[in-house]
Order: sequence, then C-alpha cells, then structure tokens
Amino acid sequence: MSSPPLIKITDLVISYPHRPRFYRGKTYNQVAVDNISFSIEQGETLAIVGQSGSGKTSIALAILDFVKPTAGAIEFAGAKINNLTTREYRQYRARIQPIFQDCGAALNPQMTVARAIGDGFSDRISKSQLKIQIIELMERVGLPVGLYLAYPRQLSGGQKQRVCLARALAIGAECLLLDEPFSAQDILHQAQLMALLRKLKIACNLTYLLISHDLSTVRLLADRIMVMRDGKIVETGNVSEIFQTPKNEYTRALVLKSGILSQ
Amino acid sequence: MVQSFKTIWTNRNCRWGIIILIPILFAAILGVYLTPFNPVSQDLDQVLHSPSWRYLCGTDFYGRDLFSRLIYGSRVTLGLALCASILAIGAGTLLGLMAGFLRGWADRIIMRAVDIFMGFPRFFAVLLIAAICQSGFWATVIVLALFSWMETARLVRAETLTIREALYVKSATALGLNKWRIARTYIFPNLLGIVVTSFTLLIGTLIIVESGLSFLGLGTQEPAASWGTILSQGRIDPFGAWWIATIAGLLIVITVVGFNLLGDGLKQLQDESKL
Repeated sequence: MSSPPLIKITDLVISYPHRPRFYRGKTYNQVAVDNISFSIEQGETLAIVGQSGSGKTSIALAILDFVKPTAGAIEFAGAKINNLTTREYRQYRARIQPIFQDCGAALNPQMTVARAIGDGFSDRISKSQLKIQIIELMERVGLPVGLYLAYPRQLSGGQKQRVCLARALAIGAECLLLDEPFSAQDILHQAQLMALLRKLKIACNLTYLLISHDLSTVRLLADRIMVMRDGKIVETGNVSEIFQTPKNEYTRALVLKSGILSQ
Repeated sequence: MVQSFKTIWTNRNCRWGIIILIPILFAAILGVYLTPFNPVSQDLDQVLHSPSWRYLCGTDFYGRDLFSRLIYGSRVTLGLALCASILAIGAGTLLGLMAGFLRGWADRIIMRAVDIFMGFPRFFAVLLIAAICQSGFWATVIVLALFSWMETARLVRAETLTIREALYVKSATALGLNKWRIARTYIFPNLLGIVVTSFTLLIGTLIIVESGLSFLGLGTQEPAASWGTILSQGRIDPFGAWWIATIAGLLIVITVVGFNLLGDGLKQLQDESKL
C-alpha cells in the first residue's frame, strides 16, 4: 500500500470578508482561492507561481492554519488538520514550518541567534546539549558560529534567512513553506540560498512548497510547478513541461516574461 | 546593559533627567546617614531660622531642621510614588497584555473596567478614598495604584495588538509554542520600552498627587515628614517663613521635571526604535 501524499488539498476555498465603508453597501466575501485541489508528495518540491493576488500566500497561510478555509479540506500525512487533537496539532505545527520573505521580521528582535534557533526545543534537552545542537545547526546552514550571541539587527538579510532555516530544522520540520524566499536577495545570495536549500533537501529529506511570482528562480529548485491566476489553478506540470510546452496562454506569458522561452 | 545605558545617555532629555535625579535618589537612599539633625526632634530655641550654614534649609515652626526633614521626606514621597507606580504599572501591563493577547471576553471586561476607572477624576477619587480609609503608607500606595493603572493598560493593549500580528509571533505560533510562552518570551520583552517610559512618567505624576494629599492632611501624617506635609507647613506663614514652602515646592518641581525629562527621552528613543 502506497503512503499518502504529505500534503493533500481538496476543493479548497478561501475568502476574506470585505467590509466597505458604511455608505457603500453590504459586506461581501472576496474569494482569494477558488475551489482548488492538489497534493505534494514526500520529498517533492512544488512551486506555486502567479502574480500578486493570485492566492499563493493564502494557500500557505491555510496550510499553516493561520487562515481558516471557507470550504474544502487540508490533509497532512493522511490526517485532516482541523480534526487533530491538541497534542497531534502541536506535533503537526512542528512538522511544517514557514520561511517568510521578510526573515528579519520573522525573528524576535529581543532574542539572540542562539535563543531563536533553540527556542522550539530548549525545554526537551539539557543546556550543554542545547548549545552543541545549536552550533551544529548553525554550521549546517552555513552561519558563522561567532554569531551565536548576535541579535537580528546585527545580521544581514541572508544570515537572517539562515537563522530561520536553522530554527525550522531544529524542531525537525519535514516540510518548509518558502514564501518568496529569493525576492529580497541579490543574485549572489539567491544562488547561495538555492544551493543551501538543495543540500538541505537531500540531507534532511525535506519537502518544499515554494511560493514565487518569478518563474526563472523556481526553475532551478522545483520538481513541479503550479501556475495560479485569480485564485484558480491555470496549469500544473513538471518543470520541463511548463517551460518547453506551456499549454495555457497565461503560463506562456509568464515563461516569456521570465526570458527562458526565448533562450 | 552598558550598551543600553550608552544609548540612553545619547539622548539629551534622558541625560538631563538622570543628572537631576541622581543626587535626589542618592539623598533619598543614603542621605539618612548624612543628616545633621534628627528630623522629628523639636528644638523650640531654634524656631524659624532662615537658611544658614548651620541649617542649610532653615528650620520650621517647631525648630526642626528642614534639610533633614526634606531628606527623610524624600524617602517617604519617592518611596510612596515608586511603590504605587510599580503596582500600577505591573497591574496595567498584565491586564493590557491579557486584553490585547487573549482578546474576546478578557479584552471586553478589562477595557470596560478601564473605562469605568477612567471616568473618575483621579485626584478626587484618591481624595475620597483617603478620607474614608485610615491614612498610612500602604493604604496610600494602594489607593494611588488603584487609580493609576488604566493608561498603562490601554497603552500596553494597543502595543500588544500590534505585536501579536508581527511575523515573529506568527513564527513562534508555527513552532508550536503555547500561548503563555509566546506572551512571556515574544510579546512581553518587546513591551518593555513602553512600560519603562510609562513608569517614569507615572512616578512624576504620583509625586504631585502624594504631595497634594499630604498637603491636604490626607497622606503622610505629622510628625513624619513628606514633601507634601512640609509644603503644607509653609502655607502658615508664606512670607515670614518663605523658605519652607519655596524649598519644598522647588524640590517637588525639580524631581517631577527630572522624571518627566527621563520619560520623554525614553519615549523619543522608543519612537526611533533605539530601545
């Protein structure tokens, strides 16, 4: 019997109540994600691509349980996330971790690098073990150990991103939700981060859900690409299908814009 | 710690506030060992001496050395304002944090309590309760704290509402940390700037309220000294014994200005996100 997909989304609808000013009429729901279904296998990298407002981040927020779906179901490793017990829910939380675009804002300004990385598991091990593990994690993500007691304001953008990665690995995350991880980086840092993500994926058997508006950056990391527009899935396929034989006009436009088709 | 002090010292208001407050706090803490006379013992041969080398601030109607009484009074006035501020800021921070973080019923109940307590004019409410209850150090502290926590609660709630939406709090939620731990380690440390600022500003206000209460005979009682009781004595003969009200009044003004400067400076640093 084959194992279930790591993440399975069925008929997902996410809408946000839109409240116009009182003289403009009734409250209505603005649909951000419109009845979509897809799944991600263990160890796979699925990239969701689309322009701003296409519903990519809403999907990630729903998977993280920061936004409640209006309809549909989200399953993680075969279990529906809204049916989990408190204990299961906490375990689920640890297995799926976000890496936000603005990693500086994702780190508590009052916490050192060591505390930020160790906070998720500091109550499970002794202090000496904690320090060893934090240093090991820092080395694994390529952070200089000299930054052990540094505060977020003393780190560069790339280093902050590595702290977030180390924090996710520290609690044994199986799936990372990477929300526009490359957009705030220059070309050199993008390449370094991409190489690190590839290395970690193999070393830790990670699954990635990569969210981006730029096809050219996801090409090097993704196994499959899902193109979204106005909350709907326009096209799904593996990287070569999307880039070489895009079926949809919108996908073709995105590929052309990324400059890859013309090459 | 050293870095934080350096940052605070770079702000002009903070610097002047600290320069003004250090001698006053030093006198309040250690001055009792340096006072030349017993602040309560009367010497009817030395009544109403104007300031001189022997009596630096003169003597009062009972021949008591005013300098010694002002130093002892600073312990009472500052101690009272400090204790009441700690209680009020502690309660305000806890309730504001609960209201902003938990929302729902906790928020509604706490905010209605804030509205009710803010409906009373503080000084008259304190005056009324002080008149009904027996006056004493701790009774005055509790009464002052009871009507001083609301502004802090409101400020802390507003700040908590902003912080709880911050990405680092969402990241902590994603780590699977419980609510109590998120409030304790992610929200509270980021509120400290606003709490310290409120604390310094409140001490200044409470020094005036305590002095006002003692002036009206509802705070510290004779023969114990507080700046308010000394000020109250000065009104018996404001022109003949001008030094009593003038020196006590100046001391109150200078101390309040010191705390307000420090509070304003801390607020400026906080607005510039340096704290």
